[in-house]
Amino acid sequence: MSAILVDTTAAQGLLEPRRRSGRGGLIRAVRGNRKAMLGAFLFALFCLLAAFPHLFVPWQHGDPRDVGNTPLLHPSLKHWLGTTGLGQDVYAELVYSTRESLVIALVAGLGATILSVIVGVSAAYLGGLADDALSLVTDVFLVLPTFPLIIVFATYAGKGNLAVVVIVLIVTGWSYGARQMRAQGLSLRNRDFLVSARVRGERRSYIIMMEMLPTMASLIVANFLGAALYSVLTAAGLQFLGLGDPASLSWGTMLYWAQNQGALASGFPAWALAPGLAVAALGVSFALLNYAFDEISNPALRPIRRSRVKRSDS
Amino acid sequence: MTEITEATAALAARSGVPLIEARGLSRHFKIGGNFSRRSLHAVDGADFVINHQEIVALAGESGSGKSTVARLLARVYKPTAGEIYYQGKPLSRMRTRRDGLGYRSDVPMVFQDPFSSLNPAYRVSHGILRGLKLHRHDLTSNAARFEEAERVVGAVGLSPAREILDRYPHELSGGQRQRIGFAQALGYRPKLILADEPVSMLDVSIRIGLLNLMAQLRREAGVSFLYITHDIASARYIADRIMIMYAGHIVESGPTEAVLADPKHPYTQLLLSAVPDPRAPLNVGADTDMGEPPRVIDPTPGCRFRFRCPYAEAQCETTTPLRRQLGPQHSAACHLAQADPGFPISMESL
Amino acid sequence: MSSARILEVRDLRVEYATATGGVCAVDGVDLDVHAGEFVGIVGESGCGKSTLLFAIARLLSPPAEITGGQVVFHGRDLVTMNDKRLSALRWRDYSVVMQSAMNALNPVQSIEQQFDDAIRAHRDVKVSPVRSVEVMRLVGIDPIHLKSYPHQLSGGMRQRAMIAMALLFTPDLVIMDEPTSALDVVAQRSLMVQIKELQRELGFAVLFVTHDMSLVSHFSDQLMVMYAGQVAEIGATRQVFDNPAHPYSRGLLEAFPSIRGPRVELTGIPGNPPDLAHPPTGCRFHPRCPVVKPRCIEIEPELYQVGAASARCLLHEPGNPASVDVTVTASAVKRP
Repeated sequence: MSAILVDTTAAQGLLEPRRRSGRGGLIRAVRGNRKAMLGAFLFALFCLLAAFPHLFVPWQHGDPRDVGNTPLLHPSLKHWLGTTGLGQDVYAELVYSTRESLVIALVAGLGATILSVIVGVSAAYLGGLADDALSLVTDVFLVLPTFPLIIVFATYAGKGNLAVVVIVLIVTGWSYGARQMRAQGLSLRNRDFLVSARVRGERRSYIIMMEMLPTMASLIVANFLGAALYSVLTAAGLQFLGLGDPASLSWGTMLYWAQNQGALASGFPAWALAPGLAVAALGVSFALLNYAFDEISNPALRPIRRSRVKRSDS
Repeated sequence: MTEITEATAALAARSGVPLIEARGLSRHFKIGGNFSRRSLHAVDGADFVINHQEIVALAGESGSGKSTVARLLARVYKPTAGEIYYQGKPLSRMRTRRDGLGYRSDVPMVFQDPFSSLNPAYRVSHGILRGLKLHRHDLTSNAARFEEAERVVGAVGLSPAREILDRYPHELSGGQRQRIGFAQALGYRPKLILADEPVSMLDVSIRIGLLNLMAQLRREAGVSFLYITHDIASARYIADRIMIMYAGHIVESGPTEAVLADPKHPYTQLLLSAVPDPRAPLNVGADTDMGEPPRVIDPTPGCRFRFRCPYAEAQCETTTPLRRQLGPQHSAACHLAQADPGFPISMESL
Repeated sequence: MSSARILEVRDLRVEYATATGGVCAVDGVDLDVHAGEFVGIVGESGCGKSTLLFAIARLLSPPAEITGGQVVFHGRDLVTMNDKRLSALRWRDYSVVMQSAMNALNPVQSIEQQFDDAIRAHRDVKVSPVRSVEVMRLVGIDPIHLKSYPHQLSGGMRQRAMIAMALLFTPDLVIMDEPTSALDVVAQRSLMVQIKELQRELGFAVLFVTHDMSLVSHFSDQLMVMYAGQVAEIGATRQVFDNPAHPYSRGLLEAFPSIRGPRVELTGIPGNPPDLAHPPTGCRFHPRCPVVKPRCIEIEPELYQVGAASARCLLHEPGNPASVDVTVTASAVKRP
């Protein structure tokens, strides 16, 4: 056995100066991406509208749903978007409705995402019989026709209950994401750092929660944005069909009443279009943020202005 | 520890029970879907020993089963048959979490791919600190653990340690990441490190540094290594003993120099003749062999190398050769080698 | 070996566009390839060897692009050629063998279909109707495997199939990007021998990129060692091996443990390859060089002639008194 005496300290001593830090890079990445900026701006705007509606409608005192004296007015300086059939200011209603619509989107989106993460990642990591069972459940929910199901649920479970709407959205919205989570979980499962955690002696629950999920963060966020988008649109649809609470303050309900009163046909398009556009705008902000997240987390999708650091020679 | 007690301890370690002993170790995988009965024999009947403070190389081509052996020892897989004894105690009897953790802290693993062996979402300190938390009960505070993390990072030749610990994996080079892998293992104060092809994915000029590190750790920290590789030259560079695997069987085993100077098994000969060596003239012996190691599915008895062996005889088709001693600590699993001490006649001068 | 030059690369530069400006991956490479010659290009990750290869084959896509120099193949500059004329040349006069056959071969088509694809792409070239069978035999695969799909073949066979496909039109130049790195040592050896035999039979030249210097040692006529996008050393293989003139080549050679001969301690090369966005001043190898001198930090060396080779090292500058004999021993490893 020849003695192999080498001072290895000198070998890797040279450390290259840090180019960019880990977490601050996210803010920079968002700032550098046009889609992200637009989406973030829109989203921030909606959050402000939801949190401080009175700032945007300073003349409104009391509930915008209170019946007014001047029904069916066209847009004017006094009523920017006109009034409804009951004399309510459309613009004021629109702004105050932001809160409920946003809350539905975020809560239902979050709920669906949490459920899809739990089911999908567990199925991927546990494998075997557990995977088969969970996948079967996922597939069943995936295949169920959502809209008819939603209508049935909503009608049965108590029309008009906001909680019901949210639950229905979660129940119908989680399965798509679960499929994606499972697929990514499967591809991650045998990565060395997960095997390394196992060899280290970590418990399975720890590995799933603390080792796998953080690396799936971008997919989870994308999932959440997709679920939020789905929730916004579907909730509006449900309410439009009259399955929500007709007295509630939300865009879908506005659409319901506009339809009910024949707004478009009678020549009062602002009343119908405004809530529709608002729904679309919120949806667009989620979609833009979704694209942006994809690009931020997957450099290969970025428009070709940046270089890829080549680790292995190509 | 005084000199005398150190020597006694070393002697006791050496003459006593080996660190690891595997008897009849086998691992099969079911393939072909839920209803098929076919099984892939990744490892069959492996018998070997790993002692204290020694580097044992397990060499073979891809599909030979060498990585599976490492994972069996790391308890990633359970053996289909056979048993692994750790300091005389069978692993199958270790049922409690405490026993399991105790074994894991003595026998950690270093992985092949520097690009996927560290979690990209965390700084490199994460794995080291988690390992210390789980296994080093003598360190009772975060500060103590961090200090130890700095120490092991320094011990593997990375500096400045504090700054390195603060980095994310993508900010380090491949060689640096592999060193972090070794640092993680070192933190446990292990007895045996399972190194699964730790240098195969690194640049050539970086490999030597890591191989030297392994030899240094063996010498200074008294750690044994099971060095899994397909590169015989690097095995020769650091290993005391070498085991050659083919198609799930260990076909030859012995002190490195003895095996390389006098290979008994035709497969070892083939491997050696195929290794490119710029300093030696080209030899034409292995040109005609175009085969590759087989995937062993539902094997029949007989030597698994017989399809490529230039010396195969009738008995090679029917009886699986067992490994038998043919020289001082040098054994091979070949009927012909066992029958004739002068076999095989080397076709090229080594 | 005939001395007809079929490929002349002059001062080739390739840059990658980044948000902060161009990163130069290949910086002024010159190379001559003669008919029937085997040229090995060795280097480690990030040295630019694969980029060089793709640039020569005109296979680069944005953000990489050729920003200077010429690639003169059979008298015509490939860099300035348009796509239409390039397509006529591709596969007929030169072909490419990729690193991983599993990635390069179409997984949903049989081997025969892929060969036919290539043959049909060049309708103007007369090819025997049994050409596919011929090339399979040439590389030692039973033609019955023409009907197989890539995943049904073993790794070694797939690589051979790729080489067979590259030889369909008996090109004058075959460019290979680490074709053996996914193979085990026995399959590697037999593939190399096969390639050499085919070369002798058909007379094509080979550009062979690899990170494994010892692999090409017995097979290449000319050897180029690349470092940080530049040619560090280039010349007759035997000369570069027996007497490496550049400290990097010497370091690389000495980083290979031998299975024969005495066991010696080795040191490898300390440090890491440089960041091409911010290369070191002067000689790019100076931060890792065991015999670095103060001049090396300031002056960028050219390629200087050293016998039958040339090396980019100030030690060999004409008129440099130290340029007589370079014997760098392992003990001279300099601590940074």
